Amino acid sequence: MRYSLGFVLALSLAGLQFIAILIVVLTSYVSSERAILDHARGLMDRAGANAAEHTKRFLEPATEVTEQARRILDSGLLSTADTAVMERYFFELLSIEPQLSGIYYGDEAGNFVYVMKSDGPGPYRTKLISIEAGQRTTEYIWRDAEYSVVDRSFDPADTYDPRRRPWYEDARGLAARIWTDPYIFFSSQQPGITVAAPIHDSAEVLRGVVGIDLDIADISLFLSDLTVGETGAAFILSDDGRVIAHPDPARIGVRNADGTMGFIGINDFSDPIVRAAFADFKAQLTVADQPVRSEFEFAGAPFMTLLLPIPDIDLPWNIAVFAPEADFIQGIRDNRVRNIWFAVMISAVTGAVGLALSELILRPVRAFAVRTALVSQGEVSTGDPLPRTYKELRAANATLIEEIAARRRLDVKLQELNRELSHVTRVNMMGQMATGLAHELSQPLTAISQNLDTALSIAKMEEPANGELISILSELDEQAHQGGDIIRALRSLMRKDKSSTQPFDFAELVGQTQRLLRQELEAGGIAVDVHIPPLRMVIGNRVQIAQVLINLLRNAIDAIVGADSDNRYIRISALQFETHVEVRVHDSGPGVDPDIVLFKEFKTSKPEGLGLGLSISRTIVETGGGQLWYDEGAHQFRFTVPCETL
Amino acid sequence: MTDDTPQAATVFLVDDDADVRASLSRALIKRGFQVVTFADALQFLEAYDPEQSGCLVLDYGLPEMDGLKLQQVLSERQIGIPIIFISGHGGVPETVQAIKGGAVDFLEKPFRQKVLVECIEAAFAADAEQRTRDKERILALSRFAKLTQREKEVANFMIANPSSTASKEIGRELNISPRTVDHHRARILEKMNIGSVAELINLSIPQSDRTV
Repeated sequence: MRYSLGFVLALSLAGLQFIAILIVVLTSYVSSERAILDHARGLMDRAGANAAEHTKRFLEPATEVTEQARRILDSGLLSTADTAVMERYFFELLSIEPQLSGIYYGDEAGNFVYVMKSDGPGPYRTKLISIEAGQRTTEYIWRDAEYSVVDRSFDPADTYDPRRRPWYEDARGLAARIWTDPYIFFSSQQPGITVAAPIHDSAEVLRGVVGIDLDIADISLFLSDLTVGETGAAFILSDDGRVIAHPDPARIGVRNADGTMGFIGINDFSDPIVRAAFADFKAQLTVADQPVRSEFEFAGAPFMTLLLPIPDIDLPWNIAVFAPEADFIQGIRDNRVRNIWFAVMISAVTGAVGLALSELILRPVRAFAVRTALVSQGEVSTGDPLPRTYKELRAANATLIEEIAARRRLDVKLQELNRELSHVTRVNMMGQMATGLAHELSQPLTAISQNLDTALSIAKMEEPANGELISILSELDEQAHQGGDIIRALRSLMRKDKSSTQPFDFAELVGQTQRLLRQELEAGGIAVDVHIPPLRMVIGNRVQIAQVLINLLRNAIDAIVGADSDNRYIRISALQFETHVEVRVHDSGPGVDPDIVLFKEFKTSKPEGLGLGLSISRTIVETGGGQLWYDEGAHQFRFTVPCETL
Repeated sequence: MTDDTPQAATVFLVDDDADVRASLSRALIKRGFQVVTFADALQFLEAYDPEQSGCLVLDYGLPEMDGLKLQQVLSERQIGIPIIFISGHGGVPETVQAIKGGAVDFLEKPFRQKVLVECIEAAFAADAEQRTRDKERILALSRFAKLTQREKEVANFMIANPSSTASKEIGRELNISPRTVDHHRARILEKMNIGSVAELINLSIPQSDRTV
């Protein structure tokens, strides 16, 4: 694990909640937008359908009234000859249906009855044209809501002939109810449309044509009430590309070249958005009678459009709806920004809470870590009570404490061994030096003493006896023997160190000496290979045997380090014999130089050595009843230690 | 027996130290000893003829083959020359081992010449005695070999049963008449050049040399 527990905890607590919030925000971001756009589509469809339905209903009364008038006049229930009755009938119809602006009847003779809504002097005006014996009379009658005459006048200059009018000609020509093209009244600037139906006598001979003027400005009014999003709009577009109704009625009128008024073409419409939206509406309309939905962009903003042919009317009109997407989803977008800020704030808060929580979770762990560090430095005893912490850590702690205690015990043992070793080594060293010196000195002393004896006997034989020479030689002989006594005293000093022998576990001693030499072994990069089968307890002076082992291992380490080879190991093996254990120490070094006299004091290959190690070791082993030797063939030092017998 | 005097005996000195060899041999020669010196054990083994009487003054701490080892080799070869160890080490364990191996003495260097001479003389005496015993034994053996088959049987029976040497018992056991036994006994004593049956038993001729 490269990261600290605190870092991981903080990261996962704060990071995970951040990711969670991010996912929620993102999914709602995408799904809400799509849902709202779907919803917007629905809103547009409903607005279009609404407008279409409204327009249809708006036109229906005109159709019905026309039908009713046609049937009454056709059937002769009402005489077309009686203008007063017709005027009254037309007046009644007009007052019932508010969207009708006028009803009229013209016959084949040129007679004409026309009742219309008027601005004054009365709310209704009747125009009567009667042709009698080639004499033409045109009379205007203004009436109030109670059908009382308000004013009347004649217009002899009037040349109006209903039979020349397009509605008359179309109805007669087609012999069926017709709609004229919509138009704009020159005087009122109001858009209108005329529905006309032919009247026949019983012989199916055309008598005249009844017509109704419909004021379609109210459609625009309705459209202006219709809300499509915030800034969207619905309007009516005829198949030939003219805007018939629009929420802003002032925009739809245009003056033609001949001075008459007409509906503006879509391509000349003053609103560039509308132009952009429906410039290609004809292409869209090729799909017959089906609503066409599409999108477009204007000035970088996305727009949605709907083109819906108005069903069940005889007119080639379409409802066109358009609205910027922003109208529907701006709220969502604003909301989303709010949500993101909200999420950021929540993230910050939960992040802080997460950090606090991780801190809370971590505190017992940290307390434990601090305690462990203190324990390892020895500032706190392992027996001190644990800080409050987790079960797992408690268990780990127990194991660690045990381990530490075991290691301490081992350390104490090792230190003890080390202390004893250095003492014993010192004593042995002194002893061995004494022995070595004694041996080396005893040789010349022997020669001196023997020669003196000989000289003395020669001197005694001479005649006359040289008393002085004899006495000198005698003294010298005594002095030589005094030297011998000193050497003997030195020897006995060494012999006094009769340390106690006891049974001990040899394998354990090998482990401990190995630990004592760990630093030197590691510094030399030397592996120690121990092959010790189960052995009986060996009997000897444990510390002295440890010194022998350490001595042999140190020699091996020095040999390996001096040889500078890649193969660096020491192999320690032991064999169980009937009465003793044989120990073998082999190293990867070059072996012993044949010129070196082994086991002899003051003979060494080491520049700083005294040459006592092996001789001390041999003395120790032999004093304990074993042997120490070098097996030249196997490059092994071997020694034996007595062991418990079966 | 006159040629086996101590003067004819030789001191064999083995010591790796030339000074010790020189001083010791000079001192001993001066005192009338016959001395041969060797620098190490192998040289001695090569040159020594077991017939030569004398003693071995042996340094304990020799290179290659040390004193103890040489003692062991001599013992294996059944060479009974008496050994006086001289040692610069002089540890108790070494001494014990050397004495166990049959050494006459163990002297720590430096030692007084008088002590050494006493040891040597004692060793010579021991060696001479040993050699005399050996000679008598060999003589007895050669005489025993001259006995006839029956005489050997009678002699063997007497050696094996020293408490029942009456002619009757022997005759019953060997199924011959006591008179014949008497005759054989007289012949045995005569051939072995001894006066009594007790002397025959004292010769203690080994069993292996008495096979019939």
